[in-house]
Amino acid sequence: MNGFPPQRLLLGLLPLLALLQGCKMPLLQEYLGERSKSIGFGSTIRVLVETREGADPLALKQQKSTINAEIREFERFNPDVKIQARFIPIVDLEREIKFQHTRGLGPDLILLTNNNALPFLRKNFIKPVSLNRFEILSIRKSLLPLFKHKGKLIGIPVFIYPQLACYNRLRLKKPPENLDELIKLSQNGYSFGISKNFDQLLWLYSGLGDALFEPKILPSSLSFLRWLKLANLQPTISFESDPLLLRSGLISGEFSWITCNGAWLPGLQSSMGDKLGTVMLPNMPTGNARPFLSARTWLFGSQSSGRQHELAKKFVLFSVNIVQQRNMALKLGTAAPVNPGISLPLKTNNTLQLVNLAAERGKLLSLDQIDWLYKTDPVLRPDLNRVISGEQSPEAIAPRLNQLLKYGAKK
Amino acid sequence: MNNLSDIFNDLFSDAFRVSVLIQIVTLGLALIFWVVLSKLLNLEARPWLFERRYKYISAFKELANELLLLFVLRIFSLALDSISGVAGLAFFITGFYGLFLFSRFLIILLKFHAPIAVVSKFDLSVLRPAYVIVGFLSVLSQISDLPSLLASPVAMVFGDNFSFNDVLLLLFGSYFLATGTALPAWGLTWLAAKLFQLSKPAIRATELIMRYLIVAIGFISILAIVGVNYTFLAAIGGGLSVGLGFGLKEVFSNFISGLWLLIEGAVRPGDVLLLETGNGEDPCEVLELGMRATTLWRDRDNVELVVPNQLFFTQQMVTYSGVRDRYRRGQVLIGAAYRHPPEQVIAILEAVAATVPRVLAKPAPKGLLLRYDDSAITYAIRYWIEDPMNGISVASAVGIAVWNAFSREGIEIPYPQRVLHMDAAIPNARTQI
Repeated sequence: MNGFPPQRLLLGLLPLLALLQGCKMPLLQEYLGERSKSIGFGSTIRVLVETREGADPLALKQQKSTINAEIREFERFNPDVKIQARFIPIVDLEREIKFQHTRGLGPDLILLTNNNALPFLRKNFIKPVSLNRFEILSIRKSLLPLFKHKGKLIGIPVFIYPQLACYNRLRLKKPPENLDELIKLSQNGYSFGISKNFDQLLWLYSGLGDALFEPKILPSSLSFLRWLKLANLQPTISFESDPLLLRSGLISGEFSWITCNGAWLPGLQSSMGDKLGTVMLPNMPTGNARPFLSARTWLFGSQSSGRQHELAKKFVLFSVNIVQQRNMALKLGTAAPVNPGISLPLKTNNTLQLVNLAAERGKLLSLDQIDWLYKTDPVLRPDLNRVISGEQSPEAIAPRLNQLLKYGAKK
Repeated sequence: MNNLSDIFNDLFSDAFRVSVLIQIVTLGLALIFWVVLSKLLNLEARPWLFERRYKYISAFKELANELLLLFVLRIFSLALDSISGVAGLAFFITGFYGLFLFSRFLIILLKFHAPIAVVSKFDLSVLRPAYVIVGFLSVLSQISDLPSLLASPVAMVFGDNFSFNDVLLLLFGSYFLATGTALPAWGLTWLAAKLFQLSKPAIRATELIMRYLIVAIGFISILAIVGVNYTFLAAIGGGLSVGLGFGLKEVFSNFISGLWLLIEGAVRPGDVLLLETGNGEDPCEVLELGMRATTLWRDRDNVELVVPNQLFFTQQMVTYSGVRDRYRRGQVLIGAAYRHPPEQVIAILEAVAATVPRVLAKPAPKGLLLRYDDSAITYAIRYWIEDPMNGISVASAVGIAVWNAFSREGIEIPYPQRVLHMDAAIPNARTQI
């Protein structure tokens, strides 16, 4: 070390470390995520629960009480395990996960209001989960493929919330059974509120004869856009993007009929009582409407220790076992369970019957499809607004919309 | 408490995550690196540029190694972040250490401009406890939902729910109000003194009033933030009324007396006064006007007298530092033989007194013939001194100087004398005696 004092060597190391700021080592990041499986300590798991934007306070309260009851029940059977649940609004969820993730303290479980999980996977916030052949039996066979990405199971559904139609029984004696009736009733002065978000319009789009998410078929949006224009020409049909406006409109009497979601029912029932009626969405020229389904989905954090990951999985499987699913389905009364082995008193509970029927008929998007849909929505929205507002004709917008909706080309 | 046990359970669970362990190991490596580097560089011992010219450089030199540690921690954290993308905890710990270092800088800087005792007290009683509390809450915020934890109710009093946040505010807010107001009060007083050219005692009184004001406003604000309802306050008020009627009467009386004295300005810190119970020769300086009692300092025997505030209301006081000025007039009495002309003696006394240090030249010392006593003519030499606390020592110095001058000038200080006259009209008078 003659002529080269050790302090210079150490000082030289500091800039070298600083230079590492420019390096990205995805392999090491992945390795760190994988290594987290190997250490097995800890008996506390943290859960982040996403709450819907503009959620009804009563529905939110019910959601919290349901989750907390489930946690208490799990802790009763597993007294050594503690589960800490935090309820985070949808707009803050990603920021909160990022905050925890950068500290190495990412959540062990995330409960989403839908199955839009791929953005979290891309950011390495979550990791796949594996279920053995017995564990798989707790979830309907038809559902599991929808929660896979590149062959790996990314999330586990827990309840299905279907899209429905809600109406005021006092104002509207007989809700429309098909789209023609809807137009006629509106011409007779009945007011209708329809969500104009594209995911909430999927029942119309696919029902009006167009096939979406078919890679080999070119979309044809013209009939869909024409119906939107026709509906908008009726002074008593309104398109709203804010679910709060639809909900409050039905409660206040501004609307006689709205498109609604199973998750809204507790709040509406509490505000309207017996006046609230729920039915399936109107039938289409092609047959029954296929409502959009949203699945409450569990995702597994990428930074959990091996023990935490196992406990998280145990809790998720607990939430989809027959007893829990039945109890929760009866308690909620507005969601369909994912466990195929449950028998519910559908004949005595009309709402539950309706929800289950809608869940059977509805369309649950796969992880890739919903990811594509949410990425496409901001681009679609201005075009839809132009048609709805009458600014441009359906014929002018349709080619552009068809281009945007080319699902296969983008995949 | 249940929440807290959950938090510690959570902390324990998370400590074994690989992503957390890697950050801890990285900081450990940074620490080892720093130990070696600091030994090699030896920053605190080696001379620095302009160290002697600028006092700040030498003062901040003691923090050189700590600053180096912060630098090393930051570099290691940045490197880890670049490699893994997970270094939030390392950044948090580094940031928190940076905050601590900043507080050290602040304290050193304050010691240059504010009284060291005030700054040290602020550091020990306020800054360090605050640092510990902030640290504890910051760690909680990293591992749990701090806002929810703080908002969770812990007690119910008179129908009001008190959250964890309220309890923390009541406990630590009151503590910091009680201990941490000295520096802000000093700062405000410094400003007021500059603006209004306050005298020294007025500055000390203003400082105390500022402290009381800050404490009162702060405490009312805490109660308002916590949302204590009026029923609760009324209940406390009712309880205090009963307490005041009995045991707390004296305490309350002393507190109000103290406040009144401050507002009136009759007794202020720095004042020199004589208590009626004293012998009039031992003035005491007011050191501190407290909530219950006033602390006086007597220089004769260097004792501190703790006098209940209400005593100043019930007793008459002599003060040398009241409205007019702080000058004290001293006096030494001395007898000279009848044979010396009074003019000569008075001239000597005035000349001698003027030469004694600490005797003011203006007003000039004044000699007086007081009375014709049995053995001597009694003279007084009166003089003025600036510091009333020096009364006895200056009197002693004047007395010594007078003796020396009388000795030099041949002025006799006579012993007690009796002149007997033998009356010839009374036979055998001598025999009778």
